[in-house]
Amino acid sequence: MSSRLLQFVPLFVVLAALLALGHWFAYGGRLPAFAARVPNQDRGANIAAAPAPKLTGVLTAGPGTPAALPGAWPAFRGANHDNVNTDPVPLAREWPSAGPTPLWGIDLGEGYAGAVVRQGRVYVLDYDQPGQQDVLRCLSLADGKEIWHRAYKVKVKRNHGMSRTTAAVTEKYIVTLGPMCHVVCADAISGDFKWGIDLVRDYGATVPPWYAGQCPLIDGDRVILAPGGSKALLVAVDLATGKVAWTTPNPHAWTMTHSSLIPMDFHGRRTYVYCASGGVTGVDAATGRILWETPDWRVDIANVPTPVLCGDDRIFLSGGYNAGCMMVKLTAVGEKITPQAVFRLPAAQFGSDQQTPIFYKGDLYGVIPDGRLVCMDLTGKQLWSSGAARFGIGPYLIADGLIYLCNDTGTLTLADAVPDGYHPRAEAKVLTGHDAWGPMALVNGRLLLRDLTRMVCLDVARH
Amino acid sequence: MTDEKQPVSRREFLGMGLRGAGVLVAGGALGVLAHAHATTVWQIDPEKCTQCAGLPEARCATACVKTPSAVKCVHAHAICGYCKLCTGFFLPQPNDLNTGAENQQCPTGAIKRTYIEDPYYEYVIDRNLCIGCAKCVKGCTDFGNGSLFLQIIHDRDHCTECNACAIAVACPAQAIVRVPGTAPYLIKTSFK
Repeated sequence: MSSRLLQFVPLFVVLAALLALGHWFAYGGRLPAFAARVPNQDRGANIAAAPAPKLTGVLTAGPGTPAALPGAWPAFRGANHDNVNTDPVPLAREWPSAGPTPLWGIDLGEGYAGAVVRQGRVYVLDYDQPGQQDVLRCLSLADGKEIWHRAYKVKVKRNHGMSRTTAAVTEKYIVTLGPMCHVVCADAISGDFKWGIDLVRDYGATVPPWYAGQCPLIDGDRVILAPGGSKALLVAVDLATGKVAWTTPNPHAWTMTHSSLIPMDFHGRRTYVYCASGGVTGVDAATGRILWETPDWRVDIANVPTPVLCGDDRIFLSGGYNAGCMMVKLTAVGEKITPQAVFRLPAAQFGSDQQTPIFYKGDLYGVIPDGRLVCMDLTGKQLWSSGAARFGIGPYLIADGLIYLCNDTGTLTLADAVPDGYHPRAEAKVLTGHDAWGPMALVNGRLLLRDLTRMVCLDVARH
Repeated sequence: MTDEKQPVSRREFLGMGLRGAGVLVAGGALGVLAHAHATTVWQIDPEKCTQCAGLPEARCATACVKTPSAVKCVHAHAICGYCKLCTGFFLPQPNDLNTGAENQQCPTGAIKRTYIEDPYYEYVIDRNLCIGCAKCVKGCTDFGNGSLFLQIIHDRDHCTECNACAIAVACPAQAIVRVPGTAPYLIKTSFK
């Protein structure tokens, strides 16, 4: 019996081996199921365009009256587009323990839009979330009371804040660029509507991620805009009439970034410099013709800082998201202008996520991605850093030899703007909210700054 | 006197058995409770994790005794920005903001991106595909809200609970700590 069974053992072994081999072929060696990763798997490709808003909007009068105070901060980064205040009003070198005296404050919709000031009036482009409208508020510099506001309906959802652009104002006109790329020009005194442009519909612009951050540039009697659209890279518009003076073609299909335009006089010619999605360009102010361009500087995630002019022929570019910085020097031979990189530094040495560095008395000042304030010379050599003192990604400006820095949560620091070292003078908590990233404005000893939902006006003058 | 043992009746035998079982159950319960309080497990502190910055690869992906690693990316949706341009999902220099493989941080396609409504997108981690490489975590931590982070997954398919954690030894930031077994995860609840 047992011997008969034993003779079948080899057969059982062979059968078991065949079964195991079959199982291995069938299941064992199979790779896990995989799927191709191709575009549009997120089902987000066909987003319907929002209806066109009526930019004429509605004007509403308020109880405020303009302050009888001189001085102006008429645009993003001030009158000279350099974030340096040149008011003759002396500023306090030290503060009382409670900090600078708050003069007034107002609640705003979530955002980062900064203020501009002219003729005793403060202007801020706010977003009214319950009313679903962009609102240009005109406030009294004296007490923050509203003189008027102008609103047009547009749907903007919370997406790391909603408002984030600073207006530009002359004695007659104020121009705003809203989060969805709507441009409105109004009478700076009365608030009456003058004209409007939809950069998406009119020029094929694409609203950047987290909404438009570009601040309009007024130069003389024109406003210069960078739609970065299929129909124009840049456009110049007459302030009084809204008529287009020129458009710049967009041969590389570069798109709008959060960076703003800056004027530059080079070899006797007025130009505008812009950091688009695919590179940097310089455009003739008279005709809109592209004079030079370089693809060597692009920050794909979010190009926020504006180009900084350093003397007559150099442009300092910086960015966040590991972009670092680059110094470009322009050279001209006849009509041909050539941009060349002088140096390029990694983010750890110098970069800027959101704010634009300041060129002041021959050196650059900026808060780098690790939060330190750094002073760097024009060769790229770091002269000093603030060490353990960190400032997040909040704004900073320079006035009267002092640098004001606001951190993410509203602590304001005062330090000397000098190349020989970091010398802090005072510090105070002036805002209670978070994301205090909106650009500051300083007029006649009054400092305007904000957090995500509140703007305050502080007395920083020396008394 | 007699040394003859009295036979145990069936009733007495059952009584002794029940008493013994009761003692065992009570002792076991106390033991389990005591064990639960005393037992700790390894977990990554997301506030300490540096995603092995400066190293060619994340140690969590390569040092774990399990293949793929027992470390997975988890997502705190409550602090996510639901951004269209998610720096955890997209490479720093994407060709385009779409789901093409060439644009994605994740080498295994473990992050599923779904359009919700303009401008929001949801990002969900497929744990079965995640290898714990931390590429998405680094992108989200450096440039986003920090809602993506790594955790050691404690279930029978992942961490072996061997008490000799290889990644704890290898972690350059000493971010792997002991936490109570009754609360084995360190979930982020606020922005970075």
